[in-house]
Amino acid sequence: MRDLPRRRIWLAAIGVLALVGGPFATYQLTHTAERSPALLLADLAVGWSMIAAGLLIADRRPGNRIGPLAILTGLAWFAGDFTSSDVAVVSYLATLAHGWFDPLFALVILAYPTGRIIRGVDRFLAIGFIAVQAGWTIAKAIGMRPIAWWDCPTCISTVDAWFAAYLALDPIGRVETLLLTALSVGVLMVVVARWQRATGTARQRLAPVVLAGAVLAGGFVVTFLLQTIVPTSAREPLGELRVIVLAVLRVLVAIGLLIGVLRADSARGRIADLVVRLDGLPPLPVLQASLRDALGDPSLKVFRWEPAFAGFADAAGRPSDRPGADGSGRTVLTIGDGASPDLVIEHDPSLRDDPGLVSAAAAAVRLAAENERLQAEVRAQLESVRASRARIVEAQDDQRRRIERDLHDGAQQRLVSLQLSLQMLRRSLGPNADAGTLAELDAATAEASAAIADIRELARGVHPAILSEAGLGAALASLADRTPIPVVIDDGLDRRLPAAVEATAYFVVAEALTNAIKHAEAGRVEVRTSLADDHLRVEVHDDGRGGAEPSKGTGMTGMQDRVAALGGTVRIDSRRGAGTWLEVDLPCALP
Amino acid sequence: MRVAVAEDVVLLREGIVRVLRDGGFEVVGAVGDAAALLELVEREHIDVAIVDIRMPPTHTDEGLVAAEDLLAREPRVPVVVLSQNVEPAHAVRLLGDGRGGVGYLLKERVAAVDDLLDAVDRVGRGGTAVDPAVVAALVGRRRARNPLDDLTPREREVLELMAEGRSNRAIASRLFVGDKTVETHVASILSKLGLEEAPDDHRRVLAVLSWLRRA
Repeated sequence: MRDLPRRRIWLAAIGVLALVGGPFATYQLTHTAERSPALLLADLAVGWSMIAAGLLIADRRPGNRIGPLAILTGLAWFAGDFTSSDVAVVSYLATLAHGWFDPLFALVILAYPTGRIIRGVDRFLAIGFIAVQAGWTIAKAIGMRPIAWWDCPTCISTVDAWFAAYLALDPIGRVETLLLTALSVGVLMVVVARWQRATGTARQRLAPVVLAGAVLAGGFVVTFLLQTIVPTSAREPLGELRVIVLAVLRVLVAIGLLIGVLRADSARGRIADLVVRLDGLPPLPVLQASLRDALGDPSLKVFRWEPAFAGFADAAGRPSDRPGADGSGRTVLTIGDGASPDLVIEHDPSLRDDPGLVSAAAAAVRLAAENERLQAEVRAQLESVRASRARIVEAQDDQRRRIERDLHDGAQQRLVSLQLSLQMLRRSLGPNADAGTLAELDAATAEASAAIADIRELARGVHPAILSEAGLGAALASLADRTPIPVVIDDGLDRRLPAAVEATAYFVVAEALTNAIKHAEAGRVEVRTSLADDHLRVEVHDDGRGGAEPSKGTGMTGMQDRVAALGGTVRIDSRRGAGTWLEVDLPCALP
Repeated sequence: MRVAVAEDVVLLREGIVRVLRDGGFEVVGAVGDAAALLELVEREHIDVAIVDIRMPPTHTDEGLVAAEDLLAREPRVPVVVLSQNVEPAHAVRLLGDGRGGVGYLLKERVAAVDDLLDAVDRVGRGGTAVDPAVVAALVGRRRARNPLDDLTPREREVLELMAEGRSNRAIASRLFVGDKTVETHVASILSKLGLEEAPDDHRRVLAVLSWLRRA
C-alpha cells in the first residue's frame, strides 16, 4: 500500500464510491415516480461514464484539470438524483446541487484538452455558467429556507411544502434556463469555430467537444422549448425520451473526451519520437516533414534565417517574406536567441490550444539545434586538440634538433679544440720531455676522446643528424649500420617528408628494433617504407618470439601516442612464436 | 702540398691550420663556409681540401655537398670530409664508384695529429682514407652468420686497415711484416668474404665497406 501514490488511493476510493453510490443514486429516482428500466440504466450510464473518464484522465494526466472536473461532473449528476430521495433533508440538499452537472460539463468542454481556459470568450462563458448556476442555487436555498423542515425532516408534508416552494421559484428557474441556454449556444459556437480553424489531427481531436457542445446546447434548447412551448400534458413522455437520448449522447461525449485526452498523450509520444529522430538538425525539408507529422499540422512551415541575404528562406530554399506577416493569422514561433532568429516555425493557430505540445516540439528542435552546435563545437575542439598535439610533437622535434646541434657545435667542438691543444702542447714539449708529463697529456687526450664519443652517442639518441641531413631512408640505413643484428631496409621513398613525419617514423623503427633485440631475441629484421595516397607506411617485421604486448612497454606506448598525435595509426600483430609485425600509417599532408 | 681548409669553428680552424703547417703542408686558405671554399678553389690551385660537413647556413650537410662538387670537377679536387658522426652511409656516398681522392674522418681525428696528416697526404695523392671508427663500427656489427668469425685475428687487422683505405705497402709497414705476407692475407680475406680482387686500393675500400654494410 505504501508504494501506491496517495492520489491513486484517492482515485480508487472515488471509483469505489461511484461504483456503489451510482446505483444507489439512480435507485432514488424510483421514489417519486414509476421509471422505466431504460431510463434508470441511462441515468446510471451517464454518471458512471463521466466519473470513469475523469478517473482515467486524472490517472494518466495528473496535471490536467479535466480529470477532476469530469469526476466532479459525474458526481454532480448522481447528486441530482437525490432530489427524489424520500428523506426530506437529503432531497433539500440535492435540490440545491441539482443542475450543477451542465455548468461543470461546460467547463470540461471549454477546458478541453489541456485543462486550461485561456481565451477571453471561453473565460466569459465559463464564469457566466458558474455565476448563473450559483445564483439559481442561492435563489433555491433562500426560497425554500423558511419552511421549518427540522420539525419533521422526513414527513411527506415537509417535502410537499418544499415542492410548493420550489414551484413558486419557477419564474426565476425559467430565467436561469434561458440564460444557460444562451451560454450553451455560445459554447457550441466557440467549439465549432475552433474546430473549423483547426487542421489535421488537431481537428480530429476536437470532434468530441463539438459533439459535447452540441449535446449541451441541444439539451438546453430542448428544455427551454419544453418549458415555454410544449403543453404540459405532452411533457412527460417526451421527457423520458429526451432524457434517454441525451444520456446516450452524454455517454458518447465522455468516451470521446477520454479518447481525445489519450490522443493528446500520443501526440506527446510523437514529440518524444521527434526528440529521438532529431539527432542534430536535419536538412530543412526533413525537419519540416518531421514537425508536420509530430504536430499533426500538414500546413506547418519551417523557415531558416539566411545571413547571406538577410532574410528567411523556406524549406525549398526560396527566399520568403517575414513568416506570419501575410495576414493569414497563422502563428509564428521563433527559435534561436532573441537577437538573431535561426528558425521560424509557422503553424496553424489551433495548435495553440495545446501550447504544451507546440512548445515541446519547439524544445525538441531547440535541443536538436543546440545539439548540433555542441557537436560542431566538440568537433572544432577535437580538431584544435589534434592540431595542438601535432604542434607539440613538432615543437619537441625542434627542441631535440636544437639540443643535438648545440651538443655538436658547442661541447663537442670545444672538446676537439681542447684535444688539439693538448696534442700541440705535447708536440711542443719535444722529444726530451718528462715521461710522466707526456703520459698525463695522453690520458687527458684519451679522456677528451671518450667525452666526445659520449656526446656523439647522446646527440644521436636525442636526434640523429643524418635524419635532417639526408632523410628517413639514409637515417634508417644508418640505424641498420649500428644495429647488432642484420636489418634489411626496403626504402620505397623517392622524396623528403615533413620533418615530424620522418622523425616519428624513425623513432618508431628505432623502438621496434630495440624491442626486437631486447625482448623478442630476433635474428633478423625487415623494414619497409612506402608512400601511397600521401600516406607513409612503415612496416617492421622480425623473426623473434612474438608475444609483444604494446600496452606493457612504455616505449611503444609513447610511439603510439606520437603517431596518433600526427593523425596516424599503429598496428601490431605479435602472436607468440610468429614474430612481430608492426605497421605504421602516417599522413604526410600536415596542416 | 697545397691545402684549403673549410671549418666554421674558428678555434678549430686555426688548430687544423697549425697542425697542417707544422706537418709541412702549405695552407693556401682557411675559410668558414662552403661557398667561400668553392670561391677559393676557383682562384687557387688546391691539391687537397679539408671540409667540415656541418657549416653555415643550415648546419646540416653543406660540407658534404661541397665535397661532392669538388670531386665532380675536372680535374677533380681531392677532399677530406670531417664529420661529427660515424655515418658509414656518408663514407660510401663519398667514395662513389671508388674514384679515390676521398677521405671521411671523424672530427676528433684532427687531434690525432699523425693520423690526420697521414690521411690528408694519402687523399692528396689520390688515395682513400676512411676513419678507423667507421670501420670499427661496421666490423663490430653482430651478424647472424658471421663470415668475419672465419678470419684470423691478423686477417681481421688487415681487413680493418684495408677498409681504412691503406695500400698493401702501408699495411705491411704498419704491421711490421713483409709485402708478400700482406698480399697473402688480403687474398685469403677476399676469398673468405667471397669478394673479387679489386683493380686498385680505392675500389677495394669500396668493396670491403659495401660488404661490411650489407652482410
